[in-house]
Amino acid sequence: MSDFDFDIIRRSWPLMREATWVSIQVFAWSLVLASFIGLLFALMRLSNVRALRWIAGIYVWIFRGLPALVILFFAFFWVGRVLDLTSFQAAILGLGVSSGAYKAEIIRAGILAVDNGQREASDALAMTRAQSMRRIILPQGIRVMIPNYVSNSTLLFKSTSLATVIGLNELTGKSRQLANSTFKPIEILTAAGVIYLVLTSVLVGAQVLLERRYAVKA
Amino acid sequence: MIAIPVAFALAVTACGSDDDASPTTEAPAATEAPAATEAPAATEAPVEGVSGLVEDGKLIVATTGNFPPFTAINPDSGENEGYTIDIAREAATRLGLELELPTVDFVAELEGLSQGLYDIADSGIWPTPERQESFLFSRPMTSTGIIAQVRAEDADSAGFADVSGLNVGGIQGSSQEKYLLENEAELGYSSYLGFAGAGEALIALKQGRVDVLSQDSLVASFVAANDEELATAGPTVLAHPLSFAFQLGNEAKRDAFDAVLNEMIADGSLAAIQQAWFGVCIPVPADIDAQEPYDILPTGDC
Repeated sequence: MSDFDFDIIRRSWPLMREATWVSIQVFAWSLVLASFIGLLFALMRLSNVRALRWIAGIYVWIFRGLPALVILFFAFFWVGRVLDLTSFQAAILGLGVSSGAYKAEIIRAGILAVDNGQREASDALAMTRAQSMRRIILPQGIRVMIPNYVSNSTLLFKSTSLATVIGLNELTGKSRQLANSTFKPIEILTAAGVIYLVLTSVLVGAQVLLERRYAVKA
Repeated sequence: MIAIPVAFALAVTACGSDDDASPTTEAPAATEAPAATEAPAATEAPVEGVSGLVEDGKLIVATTGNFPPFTAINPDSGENEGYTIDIAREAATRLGLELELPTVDFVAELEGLSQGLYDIADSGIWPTPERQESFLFSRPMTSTGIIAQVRAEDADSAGFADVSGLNVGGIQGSSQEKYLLENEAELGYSSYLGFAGAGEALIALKQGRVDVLSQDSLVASFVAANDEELATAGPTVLAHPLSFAFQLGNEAKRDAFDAVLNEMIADGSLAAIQQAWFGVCIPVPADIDAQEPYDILPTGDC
């Protein structure tokens, strides 16, 4: 530990800070996309229309089964080529559709966890299916979803590190570049690890706040 | 549920910062032409315009930035630097093009090149016959070889002349790893460990996890010169040229680049770049298929 070179971390900090910001932005936008996809496909999976259930089932099967790394590669070199996406946009697309498959299952499980009597009660109050979902089912389902949703989001944040394969200068890619350029991998990767830990701790803190917000009052 | 991530995304994006991987773009620098210090190679006429560029007016050179002294990132300036970077910068200047240096993973560098996203892949590539089936290569920009990197106390050891019973290591996917794996029976080493990058591999060597690291000769010498705990040992094996890679079918662009490389060899500017990064001059073979029978990499004053 006496050989630990703190100075290389200090010198590398501006580049690591910039790369951290890229990671945060990719995470934030892919979380938006994943949450949208997750809600959409969860509702499709629960639909009375068989075709919608099939489409959503196939989506979840494919994107939960493929490694995020492979999806990112396709997102940049295949879809990205056609749509002329930057590595930043392709990373959001790839991580969003990958995480969206997990989010769909988390949201579906949360909805199914709500007691059937709640649906029957909303039917008795002459609510439409949409009203029932918005006012009765989802607010109660969220309570069940929160731990898995946040855990999956933490994984999503760490998965932004995979986007280095498509040329995104995010935290892990930049750290590895610095580590190999300076021959100081322990120092650089330790610093990167601390940054990831701090940021994932923010997510865990958000989980606690959300759980309090949606807790059942005694 | 979606409102929370949307708000978060908007909040972080509102704070500013452009996107991602915006590549480093450099305006052409002033050309320096050091005095010629080695025998001039064949010189071609100066190039008037380059056809087949990915973007008009730009030379897009993909680099990994993690292979010093060929390509590395300077932690202080944040700029890419190194032997191949300096050559690319000089070539762009002479071709009258703006240099762009996207930094990518090695796999993405080659895939992007074959898809036509970049003009050149610069990471010091050995133009083996198999690789020549997938990419066009420039004329060589240096020769190098494979050598044993060891701890300083083992500097007098035999290197690859005798690694029997030792634990050896290399960088995954590299030519140096391939040499070890293809010659396992002949070399007789005890175990092999493959590392993701040079940084990890060198730490493992210092910590005694491996006794010998299979390294590019120029990289190993650079490391030994900059780290007193490490040295090179034994003979250079498999001396070979290194080139820049181009997309197949881009002969015109490759030929324009070759003309500039020939100019740089003839006027001594390549030798000056070698001096800056290697401290010595290294022979530059004329042919990408050259397989030099060097025992040690010949070097000399420029």
